[in-house]
This record gives sequence, C-alpha cells and structure tokens, in this order.
Amino acid sequence: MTATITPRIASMIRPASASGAAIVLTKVDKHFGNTHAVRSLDLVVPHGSICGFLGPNGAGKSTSIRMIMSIFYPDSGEVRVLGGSALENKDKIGYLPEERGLYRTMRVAEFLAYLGRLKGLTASAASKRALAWLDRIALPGVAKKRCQELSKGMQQKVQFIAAVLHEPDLLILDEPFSGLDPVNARLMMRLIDELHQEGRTIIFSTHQMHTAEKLCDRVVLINRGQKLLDATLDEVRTAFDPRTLAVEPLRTEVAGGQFDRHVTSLPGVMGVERDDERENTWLVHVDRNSDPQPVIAAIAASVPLRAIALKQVSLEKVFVDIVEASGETAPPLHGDSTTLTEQG
Amino acid sequence: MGDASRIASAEKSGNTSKVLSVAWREFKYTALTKGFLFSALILPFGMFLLMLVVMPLLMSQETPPLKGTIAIIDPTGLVAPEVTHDFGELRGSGEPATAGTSASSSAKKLADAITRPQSIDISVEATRDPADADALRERVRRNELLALAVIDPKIVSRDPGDATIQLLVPSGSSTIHTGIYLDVLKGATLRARVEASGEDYAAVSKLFASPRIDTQRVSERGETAKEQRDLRMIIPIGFMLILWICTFTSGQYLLTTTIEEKSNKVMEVLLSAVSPMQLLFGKILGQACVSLVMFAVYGGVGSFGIVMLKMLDLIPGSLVVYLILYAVMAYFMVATIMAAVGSAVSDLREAQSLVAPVMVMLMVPLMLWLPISQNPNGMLATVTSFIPPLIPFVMILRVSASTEPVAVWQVIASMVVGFGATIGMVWVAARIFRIGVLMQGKPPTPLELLRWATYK
Repeated sequence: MTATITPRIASMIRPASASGAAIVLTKVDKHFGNTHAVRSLDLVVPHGSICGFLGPNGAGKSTSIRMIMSIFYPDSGEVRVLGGSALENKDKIGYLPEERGLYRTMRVAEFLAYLGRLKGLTASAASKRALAWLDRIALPGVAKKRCQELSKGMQQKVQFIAAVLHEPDLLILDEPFSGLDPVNARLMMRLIDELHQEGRTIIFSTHQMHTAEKLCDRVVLINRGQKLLDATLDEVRTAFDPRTLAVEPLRTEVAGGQFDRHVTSLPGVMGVERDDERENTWLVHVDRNSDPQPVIAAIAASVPLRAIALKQVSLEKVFVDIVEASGETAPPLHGDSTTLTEQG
Repeated sequence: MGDASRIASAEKSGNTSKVLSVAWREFKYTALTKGFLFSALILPFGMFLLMLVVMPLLMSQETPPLKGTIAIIDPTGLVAPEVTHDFGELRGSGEPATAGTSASSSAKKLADAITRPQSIDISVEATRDPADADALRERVRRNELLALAVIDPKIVSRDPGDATIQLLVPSGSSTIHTGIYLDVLKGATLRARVEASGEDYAAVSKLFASPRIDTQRVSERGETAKEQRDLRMIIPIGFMLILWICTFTSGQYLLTTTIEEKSNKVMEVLLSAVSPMQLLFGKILGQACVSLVMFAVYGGVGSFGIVMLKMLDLIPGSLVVYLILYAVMAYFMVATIMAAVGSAVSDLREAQSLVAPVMVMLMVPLMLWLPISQNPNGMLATVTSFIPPLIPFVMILRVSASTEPVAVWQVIASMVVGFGATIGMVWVAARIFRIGVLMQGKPPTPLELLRWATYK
C-alpha cells in the first residue's frame, strides 16, 4: 500500500539542488521481504543545512538513514554522501543510531576514545576530545565510570559525543531527543545548533515537531517509504499559511454590535470564531484572495485591541494533515520471519 | 607519488589502524580480564590438579568396608584354606599382603588396581558337603553371607578342562567387593592346583615371573632415553587437546562478544565507523591473539613436561611447524563459524542450536584419537584427514603419533584442502556476518544462513 499524494502535498515536494549537496538519494528503493520500506526516494540535503527527517513510526526514516550510512544497501537507486559513498567517507560522518548502544563494562572515556580511534583520530587526540566534550555536555566526572553505571539520558549524551567527537562534516542523528528530559533536550538542541553554526550539515529524524521547527531550515516528511514533503521551513509555512488572525479585543462589545458580527462585515474576512485555546481571543479567517495586511489595518482601526497577530502554521499540524491526507498512520511491518531492524 | 596514490595509501593505513583498534579492544576485554585468567588459565590447571591429587583421595574414602562371612563348598579341601589365608592377610587395615610369591599376590594386584576398602575383615566358612548348597544359598539371599563359592573338584586337577567355580553374591553386593572375591579365589585355586600336582608354588611362580625388559629409545642424535609407551600415547592427544582447547575457547569468546555487541545495540555504532569486514577481521585477529596466549601457556606447560620426561626427541622441529600451520587452520575454521553464528543470533541460547551440529562434528577427533594415533595411516585416519573441519585436528593426531610417518603427499594435500576450505569459510562467514550483524528477530535456519552468503 502506498501513501496517497494529493495535489497539495505534491506541491510541497521541492527538492533542493543536487549540485554541491551533502546527501543525494536518487530513486532509492528498499524491500524487506514483502515490505516495501522505501519507495523511489529522491532526497537532496544541501551542504550546511540542518534538515529534519520526519515521519510516523515505521515510515522508513531509519531505513533511509541506514542506507545513507551504507549500513544497508538499496535494492535500486543511488546514494551519494559527501560526493561518494558513506563507506568512503565514514570518518567525515557522525552517526547517532536510533537504538542506543554502549559497551556496558567499558569506561566512558575509554569507550569514547575507542570510537574516536575508529573514526580516524589518534589515541591521544581522541582521549583529549572525549574529556573536553564530557565537560561541554555537562557530564563531568563520568569519564572513569563504566557505561552501565550511567542513566539512560547520560548514556545518550555519551553516544552523542561519540557521534561528534571526530568533528564530522555531516552529522546524522536518528531520534536524538528521545528519552531526554526537557533540560537535556534543550542542551542537546543548543549543541546541535552550535554544530550547525560551525558549518556542519545535519540531518536528524524526530517525532518532536516543535524541536524540528526550532532547529531546521529544511524538512522532509516520509510515510510508507514515500516522500510527502521536501521543502524549506519557510516554503512550508507559506504553503500551509492558515490565513488566520488571532485577535484579542479590549472588549467584545464594539460600536454597532458584537465584535464577531462587526469583523465579519469587514472586506476580506471570511468568518470569525472563538479561539478554544485562548480566552477572549477570536480567530479571524481571511479570504484566500485577500491580503491579510489591509484586514489587520481595518480591524485595528475599528476595534480597540489588546493584540492582533497573523497565525503561523505549526509543523505538527502540517505533519498530521499530510499524514492523514496521505491515507493513514504507520503501517505494520510484516516481512520474513527474520527481519532487518526497521523502526524508522 | 601523486595525490591519488597518497590518499589511497592513507586510507589503507587508516583501515589497518581501525582493524588493529578493533583487535586490541577484543584482546584486551577478553584476555586481560580476571574472568579469562580464571576460566582459561587457572581453572583448567586447577581441574588437572584436582583429578591428579584430590580425586583419588576422595574416591578412596568412598569405598565401603568389607566385613562378614564367605562360605565355600570345597569338596577337595584344598582351596578353602588358601582363601582363608588370603583373607586373613587382607584383614584389618586393608593393606595389601606381602609381595613376592606369597599367596596374596593376586590380592595385592587387586589392591594396586582398584581403590581398596577402608577395612577388610572376612571370615571363611568352609564345608566339603555339596548338600549344604541350598541352605547356604538361602543365607546369601538373606544377606547373611557376603558370598558363596562352590568349587568344582576338577578345578585343582592337572587338566581342569571346563571346570568352574560358581560364585553367588547378593544382588546388592558391591562390584568392588565381588572383584576382591574373584581375585582371591583365582589366586587360591592356582596355588591349590600347583600344590595338588606336587609342585612347589613358589618355585613355579618364579619360573613364570615376567621377564623385565628395559626399553631404551635412541634419538637421531644417538642419545638414549627410557622408552615410556604410555606417556608416548599422550603426545598425540596432548597436541590435539591443546589445538582444540585454544581454538575453541577463543572461538567461544568470539561468539559471545559478537552476540554481546548485537544485544547491547553497539553494533550499529561500530558499523558507522568501520565496515563489517574491518570489524570481522579485527575481531578474528584479536581473538587469534587470545588463542596465542593460551597456546603459549598450555604449550609452555606441555613443553616443560616433555623436557622433564626426557621425551624431547619425540618432538621434531617439523612437528612444531605442523602444529603452527594446523593451529592457524583450525583457528580460522572455528573462528569464522563462531563469528558467522554470533552475527546471526541475538543470544547465546539461539546460538547453541546453530553451533551444536558443528560441535558434534568437531568432537569426532576427540572420540577417535586412540584408533587414529595408534594407526595413523589407516583408512579411518586417512579419510577424516580430508574432511575440512576435522583436517587440522586429525592431522595433528597423525603427524604427532610418531609410530609410523605420514606420507608427505598426504600432509601437503591436507594443507591444500584445509587452507582452501578455510579461505572458503572466511568468505562465506564474511558475507553472513555482513548481513547478520543487523538482523533482529527469529534466528535464521542453517539454510537461511547459506542464502545470506549469496546476497549481493
């Protein structure tokens, strides 16, 4: 079963230019037994961008990421990472897999130094950077602890260090915020943003839309292995502009009658309704063919206001709308009795 | 040197460095641990010492005391006194009777052969009348008698023919005790027969004393050493056991560390840094070093024993070369199987079902070591020398048997077949490993494993 792509959804697939891109996937397909995990996926992640890879559970995110990492190989299509294959560029890529894993009895610093060496660092450089990063990520004093002694959140932070220790050009993070408390999630967001500011290309999958909204300059949404959205955040906001004003009048009674009746009569206004989420706030829907600015001016001129704002669409709403419009939620996995790990 | 070749050279050196890093971690977390020190080094020597020293002591304490009455129906009247005499000498502490030509030589042999009871105190109730048999038999049934021996009168004649001593014991009688009765009865009957024929038993037994033969082995250098046939038999099994233990122990470690990396979910992290092949070869190399440590320790102890027993002439240089070559072959065969299985399963329990058939096959050399080492050029030895997983184990038995040389062409052929098979196994294991390390869920069947090997 494939996801249904409506014309509106199709209009939101605006891939970036492939020239000079960090990641280019061309017509990539992947099956696991009878399950078509990824369908003819085209994806371009420009250098220096920070891209959110979104989709419901089982959409094919982790499979796509593993193909990008050359951990899985596509049945057909081409994957190019940093101009070659991920195998050729492993040392330039940092990867935080969805399933967190550490050597339980290894000491934290030793574990990080080991992975640093596997990523091409010298033993001394790996050790120095490991200690520096432990401080940076607010994990002082754990260097000599065994990994199994750490809490789940601390283990996740250690794994994040393992992904960034070798200062990769490209950082691929699969659900980097899952399992983190709000304080650590905020810390992680800050670190990801800093790495992005340093010029690294970052792609991360997440279910947390507000996080993607804050961090990403580009979002890709897939469902049932099919790409449903691929655009910059601005493009998404424009395309999914709700053309709705949130208006908080000083009082609901205005000259000539009630607020809603008065505003509905203004040119360019389609309708008015109360905002269920905010007290004393009205949602004013602007006609699709009208410019919201004159409507804002007209309301402000005729009604004393406490606040008026053009509402922005939330990524969460876009996500839900698109996934529902495409025909459902996540498909169950059913393939061979033995299946490759596929949870993305 | 151009840029391209410099980059290729740097990549190659980086790849080697990654393999070495994996190998060092594998070695460190296997061999430099208390667990390894205990299970692979201390425990086997402890077990050996236990078997050598403690077990005989413990076993001697477990033998039940032998006390009671034995009845003998002896129409000749010649055997019963000898039996009484023998048991009299064994009475008390259970110490063997005096050696030499005394009546108790058979009892002494028995005492030497088996663990003797803590104490022996047996009285003999003798009768010449066969009519007492039923009553005495009833007393045996009621456990009032330890045994009843019915002597055929012809048994002490010069030509005893089919004459037989009938010995009846209660169904609950200890087999050790029955052995003592048998030995005493045999010795007593022999003495009675010799005395009945008018000969002097002491003189006759001297005539039949086994001649002592002092066998000396002459080495190629002309040095002589005392030939110890029993110890010589130990050399082939010793070599094979060292090979077997060292390769299987590190193979087992390879299996468990691979499974651990899968179950800890660290595999994907590793695969983001190294290719499956680099990981596989790093692990194999690391465990090879573990195997090497074990070879050094066990081989060192074995060599010390050989030197102490003055049997160094039985270990020619070529045998050491063969041992090294077959050890490499055996290790890679076992390691590739274990790595492939470890990559395909999620826990040790699942691994057992895949490893069990291989283990059964590799137990064959252990079970056949005696016929193979006694007849190293026999059909059994020759055929099993060309069955790939068995090759190194069977061949080391054959070449170290030192009873007759193995044809050079067979040694060469076994090397060609063995290393050819090893390369094939490494290739198959690498392909299975590549697929298996990311597999989750139900473990694959052996057929599915082979199918993975054909995936692109």
